[in-house]
Amino acid sequence: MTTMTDERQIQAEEKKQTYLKRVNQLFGNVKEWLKDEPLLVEEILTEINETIMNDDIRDIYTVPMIVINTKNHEKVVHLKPVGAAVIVAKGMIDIEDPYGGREHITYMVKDGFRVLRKVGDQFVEKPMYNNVDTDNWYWLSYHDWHNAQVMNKTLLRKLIMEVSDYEF
Amino acid sequence: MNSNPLSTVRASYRATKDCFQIAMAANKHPDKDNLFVKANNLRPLNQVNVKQAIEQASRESDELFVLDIWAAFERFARTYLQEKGKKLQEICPASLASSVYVYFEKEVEFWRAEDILDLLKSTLAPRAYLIGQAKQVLQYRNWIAHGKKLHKIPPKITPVYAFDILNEIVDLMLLN
Repeated sequence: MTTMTDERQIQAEEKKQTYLKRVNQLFGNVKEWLKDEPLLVEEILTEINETIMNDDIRDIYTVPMIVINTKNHEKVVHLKPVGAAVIVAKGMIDIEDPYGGREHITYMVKDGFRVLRKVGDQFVEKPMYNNVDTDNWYWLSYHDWHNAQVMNKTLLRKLIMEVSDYEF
Repeated sequence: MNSNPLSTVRASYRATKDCFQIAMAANKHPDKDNLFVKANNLRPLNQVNVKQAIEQASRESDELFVLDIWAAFERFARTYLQEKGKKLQEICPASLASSVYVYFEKEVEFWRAEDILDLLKSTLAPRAYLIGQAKQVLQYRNWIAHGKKLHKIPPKITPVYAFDILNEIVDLMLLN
């Protein structure tokens, strides 16, 4: 007989596996987007320690992490998965430089967070974040945070420059 | 009580983040020494250490923003309930009404934040799920406020998501 705890363990495992799949998809793209740049892109392993399901199911698991260095082996940034359990979003990866600079990239789903807005006399439901047209990794800038920006080659380059001193 | 107090907190947070951006640019500027003339703590540091200090402060400002936005939200919610409870002043007998309200108004200040969120749940229907998310913001706020215990890390949150959840609840409360 499957107990409630077993079911939640299964859900937690599924959540983790989905997150890992999405992380791997993005990392595959990152390697492709940077393949012609004068950078060393290396994948290493790290650990995540998180409360994966509300307050009761914790997990410590291994995840890939991308380290980006110059050809002279100077650190530029790393892309570090921080967890599947994120409020509102479906997972988070931090892009960080060695000095502590950091931006969050989060996985958002189409039809995710929706809000009620008054238009004239009527209430209309609309997405909280604009441009979330597909399930994907997005960045929200602190000064323009309702216009989500989808992760692509251009945004990756912009974030690397935003977080570190590196210039393309 | 008729306006949303969270936007002011967000404006301050954005101004703080802009200040960090200015400081980061000044740190790389050829005239750095003059630009840092009044920065007594940062001026003696080299460029790398200044960058580290600014980045660290920027990270902490993200965490403090969650504390700040929660505090503004909680104050709003308690005042909202105290305002709504004013109807108690109309009960009979009048001699009981005034003392009951005074007691209620005082007690609201001591209600647990989780209980206040539960009270608001039906008001927000069909968006009651926002209460569950607000509880997670509270959990994160408590984790920060109580020293970030390593063995009890709550679900991650960003300043944007914390603001948007609480802001949406306040906006819905103001519609009622």
